Amino acid sequence: MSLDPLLLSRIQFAFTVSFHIIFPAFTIGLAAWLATMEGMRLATGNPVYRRLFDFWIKIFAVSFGMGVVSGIVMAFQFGTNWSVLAEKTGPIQGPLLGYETFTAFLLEATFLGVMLLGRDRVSPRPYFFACCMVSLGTLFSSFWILANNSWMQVPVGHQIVDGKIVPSDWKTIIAGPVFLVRWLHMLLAAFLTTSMCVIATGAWYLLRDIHRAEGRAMMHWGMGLAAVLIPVQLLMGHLNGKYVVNHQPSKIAAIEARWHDEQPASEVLIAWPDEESRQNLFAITLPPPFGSLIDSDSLSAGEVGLGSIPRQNWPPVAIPFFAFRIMVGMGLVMLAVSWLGNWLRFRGRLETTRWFLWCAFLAFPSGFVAVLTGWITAESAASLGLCSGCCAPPTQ
Amino acid sequence: MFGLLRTADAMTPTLTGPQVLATLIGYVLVYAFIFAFGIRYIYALLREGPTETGLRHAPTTGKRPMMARNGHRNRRCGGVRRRCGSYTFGRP
Repeated sequence: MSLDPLLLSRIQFAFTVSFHIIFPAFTIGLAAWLATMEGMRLATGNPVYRRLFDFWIKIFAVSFGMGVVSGIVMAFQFGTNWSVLAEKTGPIQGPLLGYETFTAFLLEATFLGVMLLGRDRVSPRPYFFACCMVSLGTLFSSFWILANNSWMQVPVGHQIVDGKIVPSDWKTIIAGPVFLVRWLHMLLAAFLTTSMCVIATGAWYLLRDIHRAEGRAMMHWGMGLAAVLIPVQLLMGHLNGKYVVNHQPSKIAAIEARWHDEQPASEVLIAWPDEESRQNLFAITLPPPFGSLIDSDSLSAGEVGLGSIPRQNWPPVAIPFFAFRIMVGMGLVMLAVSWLGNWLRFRGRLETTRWFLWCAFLAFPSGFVAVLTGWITAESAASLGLCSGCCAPPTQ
Repeated sequence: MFGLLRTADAMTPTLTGPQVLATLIGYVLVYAFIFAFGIRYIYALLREGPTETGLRHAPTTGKRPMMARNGHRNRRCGGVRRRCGSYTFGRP
C-alpha cells in the first residue's frame, strides 16, 4: 500500500485546523464577555461582576493558550506541506497574515499581560482599557483571517505574472464582495458559541444549587445576547448563501443535493444523497418554488444542479450536505434555548424549571458544533476536494 | 483556491507519504497530550466555579485554598450565608 502524501496532507491540515477553530470560536466571544463584565463592574460596583470576571479570565487564559498553540502549527504547514500554494499566493496571503500579526497579536500580546497580571498594578480604568484592547485584538485577528479566507473562496483583485498570483488591487482583495458577510457570520458565531457556554455554565450551577448569583447572571447575560444575535445570525447565514449561489454553483448544488437543473427549484430538507445514482434516497422535499425562494429570493429562479457541472469539480456531496444541515440544526437549538429561556425568565420560572436548565446545560456544544460544521461546509466544497487543506480559519 | 489552483497542485512536490504520516502521527500525539490537559484543567475550573471572590485583601481565616467548599461560602460576609453582592437583574 502506498501512502498518498496529498491525502495525508489534507487529513493533517483538516485535523489541525478543526482542532484550532474550536478555541478562537470560544475566545473571541470570551474576550468581549470579559470586557463587558469589567465595564459593568466599573459602572455598578457590583462584586458579582468581579467574581464572574475573575472566574472567566482563568478559562480565557487556558483557551487562549491552546488557541495560540494550535494556530502556530497551521502557519508551518503552509511551508511544509503546501509550499506551492505559499509560493504562488504568497504576495497576497503573506501580507494578509502579516497584518494579522501586526494588528491583532500586537494588541493581544501587549494587553493580555496587563489583563492577567496587572489587576493590582494598574488602576481600574487602564485595566478596563486593557480588556477592551484584547477584545479588539481578537476582532482584528478574525478580520484578517476572514479577509484571507474570503479571498481564497472568491479570488478577486489579483493578476497572474510569471505563474505567480500577485495583488493588483488591495482594497478589493481585503474587502472583496463576500468578505463582510462572511466576517460577520463568523463573529456572530463566536459570540453565540461563548453565549451558549456561559449559559450552560450558569445552568450547571443553578442545577447544583451553588453560586446562584453568578449562575443567574451568566444565564441572564448569555440568554439575552443569544436571543438578540441568533435572528441576526440566521439572516447572515442566508446572505452567506447568496454569495455561494452567485460564486460557487457546485457548492450550493451539493449543499442542496440538487442533481439536475430545476426551475423553479424544490428544496430537499433531509435525504441520503447518492452520488452513484445521482439521486436522493429517503428524501423529504419541499415542492417548488421553495428551493428558488431560499437560494435566490425568487419564486421562479432557475437553480443549477450538479448534472451541469463537470464530475471532477463536484465536492463530495454528502459532506457539505450533512454539515450544512447540522449547522442549521444547531442554530435552531440556540434559538430555542435563548428564546424559551428568556420567556421563562420573564415569567419568573427560570430557576425552578429544571428540565430547561438541563436542556441549557446540555446545549453547551451547540456553538462549537455549528462553527465546525459551518467551516466544513465552506471548505469541503471549495473546489479543492475534501477539507481543502488551503483554508485558514481564524488563528489567534 | 476557488478556480485558481487545485489542492493537488498546491502541495509541496518533494513531499513523501511516510514523511507526512510521521508528522501527522506526531501532531496527533502532541495535540492529544496538550489538549487533554487543557480540557481537564478547564473542566476543573468550571466545576469549581467562581469561588475565588477577588477579595485578595479581605481578611481570611484559615488556609483558604484548602478549606472545604461549603466552608468559605458561609464565611465571606461576616457569616451570612448569602455571599456579598447579589445579582437581581430583572426578576430572579
